[in-house]
Formats: sequence, structure tokens, C-alpha cells
Amino acid sequence: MTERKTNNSFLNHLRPRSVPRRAISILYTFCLGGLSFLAFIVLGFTGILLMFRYQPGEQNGFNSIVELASVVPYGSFFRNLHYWAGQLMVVSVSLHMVRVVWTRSYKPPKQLNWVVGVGLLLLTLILDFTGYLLRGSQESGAAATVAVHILNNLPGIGPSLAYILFGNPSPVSGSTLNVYVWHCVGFAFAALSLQGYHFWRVRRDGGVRPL
Amino acid sequence: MPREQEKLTVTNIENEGAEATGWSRRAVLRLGWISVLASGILSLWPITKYLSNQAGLVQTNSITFESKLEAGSDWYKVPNSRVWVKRDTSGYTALLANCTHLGCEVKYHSEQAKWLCPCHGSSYDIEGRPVGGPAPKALQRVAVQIRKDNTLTIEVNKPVGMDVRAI
Amino acid sequence: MERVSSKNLFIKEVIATLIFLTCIILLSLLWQAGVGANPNTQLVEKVAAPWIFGPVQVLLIYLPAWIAGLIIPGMIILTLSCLPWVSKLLGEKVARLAFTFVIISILFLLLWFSGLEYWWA
Repeated sequence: MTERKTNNSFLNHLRPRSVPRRAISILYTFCLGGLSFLAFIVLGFTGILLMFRYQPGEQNGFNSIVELASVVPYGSFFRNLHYWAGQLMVVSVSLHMVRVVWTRSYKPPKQLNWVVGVGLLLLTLILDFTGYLLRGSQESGAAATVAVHILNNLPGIGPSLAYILFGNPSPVSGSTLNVYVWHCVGFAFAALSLQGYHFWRVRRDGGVRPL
Repeated sequence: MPREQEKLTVTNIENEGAEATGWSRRAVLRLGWISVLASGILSLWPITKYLSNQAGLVQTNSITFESKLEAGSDWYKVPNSRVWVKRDTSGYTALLANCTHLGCEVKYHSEQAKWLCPCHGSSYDIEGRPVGGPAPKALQRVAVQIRKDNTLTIEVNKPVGMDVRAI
Repeated sequence: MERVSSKNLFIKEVIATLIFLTCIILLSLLWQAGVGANPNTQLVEKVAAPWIFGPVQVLLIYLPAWIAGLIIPGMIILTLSCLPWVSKLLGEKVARLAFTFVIISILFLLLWFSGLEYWWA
């Protein structure tokens, strides 16, 4: 009896019993924030599956991707899911931002959540980029090398920051242990916790979460 | 329900006790936050040092290459490296195929006698001087030494001028 | 403001989730994600950035790296972050104008990038 009661109140805590009619109108939110979160869940799930079969490294990275794409049963399907969820997430997050400006939802008193949202957009882009590097193809090596050279332009902290983020990528393979850890743990969990905060504030400001 | 009430009274008593000794809940909380923040800032330095140390990195300083190049040869890529070697009438020269713009590996096109960068379209003439695109300077030449058994030792981290030749 | 039961919300969520999952599974079955060029084979002739970073690649061709890679992206992020305060201090019209300008520029560069990809030798 008591347990059920706490369950209910926990659900109530997460979700209101009633919501403003406007907030569930599809033409108001277009579900874009919620779809981004859904894409993120798919990314987390397929990402964990990929981690069982992927090894970072100048040689290993590309080899394990080829193995995933051609040998492992359903490997290419899970990789495709991860890839398409990532592409769609970038699109839906960007459109979500346009929607928020369109409906004037960025203005005070919601300004803090707007800044959190900009941070989440940035994290999404970084996750997309590091994921691309983990392919370990020639293109990924070029991308990593260019990124390192750009960061080296930052006065003082540039070179160390580039090394911490990207390790020592070769110009023909961007797959390094550093990129792997940042992609799977660092940035992924930063995005997850920031999303939790984002939704909590949306709920507090009278919107709905997450779809 | 009664249990909850019990809890409430207990906390109240605790709070009163704290205030009596000069430690209000707010002060304790503030101290907690400050110590969390301080330890976060203090750990930033060791973490940065830990992550940015490159001492364990395996660095290739020199490459050996058994050259069978004739005088007046075209550029030849040393296998498993980004170093290219050429032997002209005055001797050996070696070049790093890293674009001077943003470091992408440039590709030698012998039919055009040009080096082309795949990333941002920089191009270099046969000697590695920039002729197009955003590349700011010539491809880096590095030192070559000829050993007694006629193999070459290429010092990858030792830049030299464009006219230096190993004889 | 008029309020409705969150049951309506729940139904819409389920529908949206199902549509999204169907779309993403269809995409994965129909189009393979690329693998890229093997690092151990011959170098490729040209490397196009992933389309999301196409705008940066276009800028890097024509501008110094520190402007194209650090200053311009930094300015964009700063402009976006400051939007609520711009709207508060300078009026909403200015904020919307700034936002539209940023979005149009990025779309323009994306278009430029896809043109480059097509026309490059």
C-alpha cells in the first residue's frame, strides 16, 4: 500500500497530472525535443552494443568497423541504427532550437534553460564528430588532424587540450583511446546529465517532458 | 504516517541542537558546497597533468630505408611512413608529406609533378613549394644521412632547408 | 491557461515514438552507413568533412585556421547563448534577426559545401 503510494507520487513528480493544452499541441512543439531524447536513448543502447565489438586504435579501429559492417551478425544493422539515430539527433536538436526561438520560449524567465540547450547542441555536435573519428578511416584521420591543428592555435592551453581530447591521431586514422573514452563515457554522460537538468527545468517552467 | 511524523520531530530536534551550538543547517550546507567546489578546483590541476602527459608516447625519430634510387629519380615513398625520398644529381633529399596548412597527408601526383592536399585543396610544385590553396609554406624537408652500407637514415624530427642534400 | 489531462500527452508520445522507431529502422535497413577509406591503402584524392562540419571545411579553405575554426564557431555559440539577454536589452526583433542571420549563414555554407563536394575534381 505504502509502496504504491510512493510510486504514484514519484510518477507525479516526473509528470504532471495535467498539462497546458498548448504544450501538447503537435504544431506547437513538433515533438522535436522529445524525439531528440528518443534518438539519444537509441544511441546509448546501440552504442553499448557496439562497444562489445569495437576496439580503438590506428589499425584496430578501422578493422573492427569493417568486421562489424560485414562479418558480425546484425553488426551492420546496429551500426546503421547508431549512425542514423546520430544524424537524426543533430537535425532534430537543431530544429528544436529553431522551434524554441519561433515560439519565443527562450526568453526570460527561461533563459537559463536556453543556455543549457545551447550546451546540449554543442555536446551533440561534439559527439557526432568524435563518433566520426572512431571509424578510423582515412577521412577520420584527416578530420582529427585538422581539429588538432585548429586547437593548437589556442594560446597556452591549445596543445594540451588537443592531446587530452584527441590523443595522438595519425593523419590517416582518427581512432584513438582518448577519443573513444570521451565519446563513450565523457561526453555521453555529460549529455545525459545535462538533459536530465534540461527536462527538469522544462517541467518546472510549465512545459512537458520529454515528448 | 506516524513514522514520517516521528522522523520530522527527530530532524527538528537535531536542528535545534545544531542551532544551539552555532551550526545551523544552512551553514553546514554552505560549508559542504564550498568544500565540494574547492576540491573540484584543486583536482583540476592534477587531472590535467595526468591526462596531458605524453611521456609514454612512442615517437619515431629516425627511419632507415634501403635505397635503390638512381640519380635523377622521382619522389619515392618510404613504406609505412609519410616520408618521401628523392635522389637528384647533387644527392638525397627527404620530405614529409604533411600539408603545411592543417597537417593532412598530401599525395604526390607524378603525372602532374604536383603534391595535392585532399582536405582543403592546397597544391605544391614538384619541389614542395606552395602554388595554390591555403598552404602557407613549403613541405618540410628533413635530414638524411647515408650510412656505410648505403642505407639511408632519415631524421624525421630534424628539419632542414630545401637545398640541403646528402651525398 | 486551459489544462488537459496528461493522458492525451501519453497517447501522443506513444504514437510519436512508434513513428520515430519505424523511420529509423527503415533508414537503417535501406541505407548503409559508410565505412570510409582503409588507412592502409592508397591515399584518397579528396576528403570531404561529415556534412555537419561542412561549413567549417568551406571556411577553412578561404580563411586562416584560427578565424575559421575558433573565432567564427565561438562567435556563433556566444550569439546563441546571449539571445535571451539580447532580446531583453535590445528588443525581440534584434534577437530574432541575429538568430535568423546565424541560421541563414550556416545553411548558405552548407549549400556551398555540397556544391564544392560536387564540383571538386
